[in-house]
Amino acid sequence: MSQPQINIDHLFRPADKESLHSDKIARPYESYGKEVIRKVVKNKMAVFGFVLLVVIILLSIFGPHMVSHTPSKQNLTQGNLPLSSEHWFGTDDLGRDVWARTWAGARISLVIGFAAAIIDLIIGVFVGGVSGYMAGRGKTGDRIDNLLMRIVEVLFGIPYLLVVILLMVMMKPGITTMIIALSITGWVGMARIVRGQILQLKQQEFVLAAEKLGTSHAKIIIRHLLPNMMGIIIVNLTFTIPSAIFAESFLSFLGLGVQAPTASWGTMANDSLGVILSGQWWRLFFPGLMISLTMFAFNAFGDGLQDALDPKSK
Amino acid sequence: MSEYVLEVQEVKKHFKMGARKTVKSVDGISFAIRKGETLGLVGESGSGKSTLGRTIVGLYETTSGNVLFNGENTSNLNGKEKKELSRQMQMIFQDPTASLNPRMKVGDIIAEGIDAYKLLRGKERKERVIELLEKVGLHADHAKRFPHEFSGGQRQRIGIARALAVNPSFIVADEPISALDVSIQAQVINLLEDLQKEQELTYLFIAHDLAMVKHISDRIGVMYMGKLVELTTSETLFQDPLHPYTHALLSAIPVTEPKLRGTRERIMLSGDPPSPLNPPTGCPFRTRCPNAIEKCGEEMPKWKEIKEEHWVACHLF
Amino acid sequence: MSHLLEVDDLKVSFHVSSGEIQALRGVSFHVNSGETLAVVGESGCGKSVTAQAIMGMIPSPQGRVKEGRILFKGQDLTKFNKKQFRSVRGSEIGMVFQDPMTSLNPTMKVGSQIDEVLVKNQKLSKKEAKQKTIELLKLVGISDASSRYSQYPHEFSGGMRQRVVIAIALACNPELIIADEPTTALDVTIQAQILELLKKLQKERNTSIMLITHDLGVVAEVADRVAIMYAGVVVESGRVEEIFENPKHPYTWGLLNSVPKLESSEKERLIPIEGSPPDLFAPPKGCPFAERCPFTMEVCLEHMPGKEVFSENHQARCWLNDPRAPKNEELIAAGRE
Repeated sequence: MSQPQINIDHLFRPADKESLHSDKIARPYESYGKEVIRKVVKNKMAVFGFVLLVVIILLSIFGPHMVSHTPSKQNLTQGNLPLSSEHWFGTDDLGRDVWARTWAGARISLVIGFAAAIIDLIIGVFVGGVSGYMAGRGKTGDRIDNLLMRIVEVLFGIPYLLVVILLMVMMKPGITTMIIALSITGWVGMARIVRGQILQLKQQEFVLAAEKLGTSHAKIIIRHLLPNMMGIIIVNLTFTIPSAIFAESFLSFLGLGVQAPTASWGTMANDSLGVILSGQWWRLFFPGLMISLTMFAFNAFGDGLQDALDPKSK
Repeated sequence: MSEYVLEVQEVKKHFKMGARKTVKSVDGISFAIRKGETLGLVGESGSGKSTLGRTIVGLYETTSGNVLFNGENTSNLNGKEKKELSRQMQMIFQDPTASLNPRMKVGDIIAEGIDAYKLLRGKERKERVIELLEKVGLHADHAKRFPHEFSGGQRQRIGIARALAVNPSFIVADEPISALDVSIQAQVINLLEDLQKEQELTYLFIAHDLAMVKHISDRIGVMYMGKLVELTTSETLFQDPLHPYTHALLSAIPVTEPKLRGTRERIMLSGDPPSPLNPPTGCPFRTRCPNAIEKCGEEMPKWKEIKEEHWVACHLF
Repeated sequence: MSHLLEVDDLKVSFHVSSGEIQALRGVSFHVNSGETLAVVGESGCGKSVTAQAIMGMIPSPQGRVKEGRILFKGQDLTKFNKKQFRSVRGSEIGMVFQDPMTSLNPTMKVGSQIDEVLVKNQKLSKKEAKQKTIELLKLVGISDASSRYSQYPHEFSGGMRQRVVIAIALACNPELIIADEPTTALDVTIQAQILELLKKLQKERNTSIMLITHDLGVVAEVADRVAIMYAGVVVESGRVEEIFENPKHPYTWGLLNSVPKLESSEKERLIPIEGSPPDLFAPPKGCPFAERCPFTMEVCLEHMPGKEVFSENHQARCWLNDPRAPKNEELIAAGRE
């Protein structure tokens, strides 16, 4: 760097140091949430998945009201009609509007998906959290951890179909039974992830510091451990919701889930199995398409979120 | 009441590794710290110095032995008394990044102990946080920021403020400067020294930088493989070390000026420290000791006071 | 005189979402053959980025060399493509990093990892390579080399691993070794061993070493010349005696003062450098050290000081050395102690 050409002779005198403040923070601050959103927005697939999800959710709310037919109104004279301006997705053998039924079915699928995932989340985080936190904390702690992990392992080993069939026999088939059946075994995955995370996090010095300062166990879990694993929990949710939706459709398809006449993507697909060869493709196509799109949307969004939460990505 | 703030008596901390193996991280250590004193603890990685620090403040349960604080046995206490005692012993951690919760604001981090002990509320709590921030050389408006916005030295100051918030009388500083840059280390050391004077604090200062330990400590203990091998005043340790391991450790310190190059006689230790899973019989240092005798393999030398204020565990003395 | 390595006005920036971080802002220094240059500075001063630039390992696409030249034996490395870098890295420039585990493959036998380098770069047969590997392991002080040959990295201690990394770096007789904090992760007794090893190898093989470190003790032990970096520029460079005995930059004074003197028996208060280094996201337009300097003048805040040359090797960038600066010798003497 060459000497500046302008005359600087007069500047050779002590500077006013009061105006200097070298402990200031120069870099603009970006909160963790904003950073994650910025990274997700940069990922086109994730944005597409998110938009698709919003559209599906909006249609499940408003879709049935956009046509004059209600989902369960039968009109035998109008059975098996193809796509038209009157019936956008055609009608089924009982003359019910497939558009209306598809979005009514979406409600069931989404409700079951979200409800099962949230119950998984609550039980999984609680059990995983307690188990991971108590592990290595004296004899009692290890005993609690062992007990909880044995329960998880046993539940993990039971095929969920068996549980579902058993429950369907014992209880009235329907949405509630379905949610219970899916959650009974569903939470173990979340519990395992949470436990693993907690085992890692609680070695961190900030957790030791909190413990030394007398912070209670519950507060350590709620203020220190959970906020630092929110990302992983949310990513896991974006993958458990679609698998619950798929399980619902699959069970309904088998006749083990939601019962007719309630519309669900699974029951609609089941109903249309017999007529698929006679050319009424729309009866199977639309519920099938919706299942695929929903799964895709969740997975694309979840993947993007996972990448965005990875601190190594820029 | 005894002249010692802290007395450590034959403390052991063993960790189970799998079903059969045990690592004796801390294996029968005894020493005492006087009020207002700084005791330095040096040793290489894996010597058990951090485990000892954590055991003393109660983060780990002792396997055996006693820790006495102001003459009271910490393991005999329960409930309220224990919590009160625990408040007086605080800790400063090594890694200024890992020791602050990245999801909490600095103000809440500092007030964590205040909240846990329900010391202050509302406006008083806020004022106390600002007072603490200023005490460690930060600014009041830093309370609203998150840890990752600060440099390493600033974060370590936040960690110090957090420990001070509950008015402790004894602080274990576990390698508080080893993650910091040279020019920042001196800032933190000076801060610790000022706080000690101001608040009559007693320190256990754990580090591997011998020059810094010498600077801050009144007395220094040297650890090797879970055992204390020598303990004496800083001057004596550097001028008249006894244990062969201390000799080797001191001779390995780099010179401070190039013209002194080659003036320091190096005692090169052969090989590496033995595996903690399979320690040698007798004295743990005998496998690398240049002066080992037959007796060293047979029994562990006793921990004894050779001269006044000069403790050593070696068969040669 | 031509140097083995010459870095000239090197500028490197990293582009992140919120803007540009100017990691190197015109770095110049050189390494002569057979000597050890220590590059000293605090974290974030750009010393590791400099090493990455020389080795062609700046993470892209965020980071890029904006300006300047890196001449290695007369060739400009900034013009090299990936393939050319690979051949230079393997055979002419060896590397040693802070954490030996990052440069060793945990699933491969230690011996095979050295063999691989020899077979690839020196076209040795497998048998010859094995023989040479065992020689190298002996050279870096690994006892029982032939049985150690077939062990995995996890069976080695930290110090032993660093010896293996040095053996790999030496495998092709490089003319330059870049060692980035090679002893920082090691204990002091092991550090002494590794430094001795580096000194011995350099004497025997006349290799040049560019040693990146933050530890002035390590510098005092092994360096021939020193370059002090601060906020992406070299603020002072010179022979090691010149830097320790007659430093010309207040930052160098500060660094030397903030380390406790082992030799003195009195307990003196340490003299820290107040404040923190500037954020290179928005570097100051004047001297980067002005904010922390005890002798700041108005000119320091406005203009970057030029190079002031004191001897063949010794130069510094500080306005205090300008003839126009007031002669506050007393103050400066106090700062320098």
